[in-house]
Amino acid sequence: MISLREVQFGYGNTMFLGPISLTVERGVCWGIVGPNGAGKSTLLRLMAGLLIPLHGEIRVDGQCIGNFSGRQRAQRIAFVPQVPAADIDIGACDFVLMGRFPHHRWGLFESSGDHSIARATMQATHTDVFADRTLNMLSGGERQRVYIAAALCQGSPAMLLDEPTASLDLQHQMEMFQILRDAARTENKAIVVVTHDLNLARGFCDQVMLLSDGQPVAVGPPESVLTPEVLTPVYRVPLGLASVQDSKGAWLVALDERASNSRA
Amino acid sequence: MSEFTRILTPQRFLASMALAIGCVAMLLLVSPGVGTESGSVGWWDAWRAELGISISPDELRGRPIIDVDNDGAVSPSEAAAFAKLARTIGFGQRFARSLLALQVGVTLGICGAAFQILFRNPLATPYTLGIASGGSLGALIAIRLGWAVAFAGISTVAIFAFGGGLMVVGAVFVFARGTRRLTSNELLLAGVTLGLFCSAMMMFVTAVSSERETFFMVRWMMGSLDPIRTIEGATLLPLMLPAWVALVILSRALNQYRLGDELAASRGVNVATLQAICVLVCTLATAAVVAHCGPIGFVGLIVPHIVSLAFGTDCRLLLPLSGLIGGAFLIVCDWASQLTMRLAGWVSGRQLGSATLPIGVVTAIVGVPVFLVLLRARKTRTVS
Repeated sequence: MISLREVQFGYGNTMFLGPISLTVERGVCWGIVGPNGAGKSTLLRLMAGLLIPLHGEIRVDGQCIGNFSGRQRAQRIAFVPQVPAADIDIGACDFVLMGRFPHHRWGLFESSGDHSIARATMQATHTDVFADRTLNMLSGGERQRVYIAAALCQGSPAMLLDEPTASLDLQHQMEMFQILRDAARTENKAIVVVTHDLNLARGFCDQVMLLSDGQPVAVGPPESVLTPEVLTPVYRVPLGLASVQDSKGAWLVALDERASNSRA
Repeated sequence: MSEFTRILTPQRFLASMALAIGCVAMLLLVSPGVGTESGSVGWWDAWRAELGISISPDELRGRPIIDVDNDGAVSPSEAAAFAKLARTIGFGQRFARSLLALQVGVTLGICGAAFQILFRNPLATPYTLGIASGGSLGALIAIRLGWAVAFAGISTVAIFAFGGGLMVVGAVFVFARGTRRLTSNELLLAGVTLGLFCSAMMMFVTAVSSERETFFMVRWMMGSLDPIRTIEGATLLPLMLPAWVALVILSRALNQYRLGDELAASRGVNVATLQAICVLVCTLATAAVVAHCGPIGFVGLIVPHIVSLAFGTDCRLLLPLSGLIGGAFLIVCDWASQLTMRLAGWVSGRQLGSATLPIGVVTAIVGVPVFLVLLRARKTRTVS
C-alpha cells in the first residue's frame, strides 16, 4: 500500500530523519514508537504526503506519492493529526460527514450515500451519542474519537494516526485500538499509529517500528521489538516485563531507578 | 440515533437563501420610494412608471407637486409629467443608489466573512491588511493634486484609491514574506503598521491642502454611496463578481480549511492556493469598493458574526448569507442616512436641506453597539 525507500528528511543540509525503508501492507496494523523528538510524527507526515522527503521515494499503490493530486491522495490515505484543532463550533456529525470531502470534486452538498456512511461510522465508533453537539462542547477524548470517526468515514484504504489515544481513558483507548484493528482485519486497511503507549502497541499492533533520533532501531513484531532489552537503551529508563493475569503476554513497566540503585 | 439536525442539506440551504434573497428583493422593491429627493414619489408610482403602466389623473388628485397650472385638477399631461418624474427619481436615483449599496454590502459582507475564516481571527476584515488606509491615502493625494477628472467613466480619485489600496496590500505581503502562514502575526502586524503609516501620511496631505480640498477629503473618508450614476455601479461589478463567485465555489474547501491546515491538506485541499485565491479576489473587490465609496466600516466585521450566530458557521451558508445580509444591511443604513437628516429637520423645524448623513457614520452607530453585545456573547459561545 505505502512503501518508503531510503527516505530522508531534514531542513537545509542537516538530516534528522532516516534513511528509512518501510512497506506498509493492507490488513496490517503498524505501530511507530519512540521517545519524544525521535521523528515519529515527521515520518507519519511524510507517509501522508504532507511533507516531501529530501531524499528517497514514497510510493502509494505503486505510484510515486507526488504524482497524485491532493484529492486522489486523500482517497487513498486518511490522516488524523495529533492535537485536534479545538474550539470550532462545527457539529460532530457535520465534522464526520466532512471526511467525505475527497470524494466530491464539484457540488456543494454531500450525497445521501455519504450521509449513510457517516451515520454508520458514528454508530460503529459509538460517537453517535454526541452527533448533535458541536466540537467545542466535547471533551478532549470525545473530540479525539470524533476525529477518528471522520477518518474512518473518509473511506481511504490507509489510515495514519498521530497519537490517537493520547487523551482517552483506558476503556476508550482499548475500544479505539479495537476499532483500528478491526478496520485492518475486516476492511483490509493499512493502519499506521504513532503512539507513546508501548503496552497498547504491544497488544494491538502487528508490526512495530522503534525510532530513536530519527533512526529506525528495531522493526518487527511487537514481541521482538517491545522488549526491555531493546527499549531500555533507547528510553534510558530501566524497563521490566511483568506478567499479568488474563493477558496474552507480559506488561512493560518502568522500574524505579533509585530503588534499584539503592538495592545494589 | 439522533438525526443529523445540524447538517446542511440542500433543502435547508435553499430555504435560508430564499429567506435572505426575499429580504433583499423586498428592500429593492420599495427602494424607489425611499430617499430625500423632493417629490411625493411612492415606490408603487415609480414601478408603474417604469413598467409603463399609466397612472390615471384621478389617482393623483390632492398630491402637492402635481398641479402645475394650479387649477385644482390633474390633467393627463400633468400625470405624464409625474410618471416621468417618478421614473427619474425612483429608478434613476433611489433604486440605482440602493443597487450600489447592495453590491457594496454584498462585497463587504462576504469578504469580511472570508477574511475571518482565512486568518482564523474574528476581528480580521479586508481592511486589516491596509486596503482602507492605502485607498484613502491614494484618494487624498488625487484630491490634493486636483486631478478630479473622469477617465473612461471612472474618476481619478477612484483609480488612485484603487491603486493605493492594492499597493499597501502588496507591500504588506512583501514585508511579511517568509512567513508561510496567512494566520501569522507578522502579516497582521505589517498590515496594521502600514495602515498607521498611511494614516500619518493622510494627515500630512490634509495639512498641506486648502480648506476646500480638506472638506472633500473628510467627506471622502466618511464613506459615501453618493456617486450613484448607474454607469459607476456597473463598472464595480467586474471587480466584485469574481470574489462572490469564487468564495461560494470554494466554500466547501474553506470548511475544511477551518479545521486546520494539516487536516485540510490531508483531505486534498491545496491550502496555499486556496489562501492566495481568496485573498486576491477579496482584495480586488474591496479595493474597488473603497475606491468608489470610501472606507465603509463595520459591515464586514459584524455581519458575518450575526449570520454565524443565527445560521451556524458552515461556510456554504455563512459566505453567501453574509453577502446578502450585508447588502440588506447597507441598503437600510443608506436609507437611515438619508432619512435621519430629514427627521432632524422635521424635529427642529428648520430646513436642513437634502443633506445625507455619511454612510460610515450610520454603519458605525449601528455596528459598534451590536459588536460589543456580540463580544460579550462570545464569552459563552465561540464564534468563527
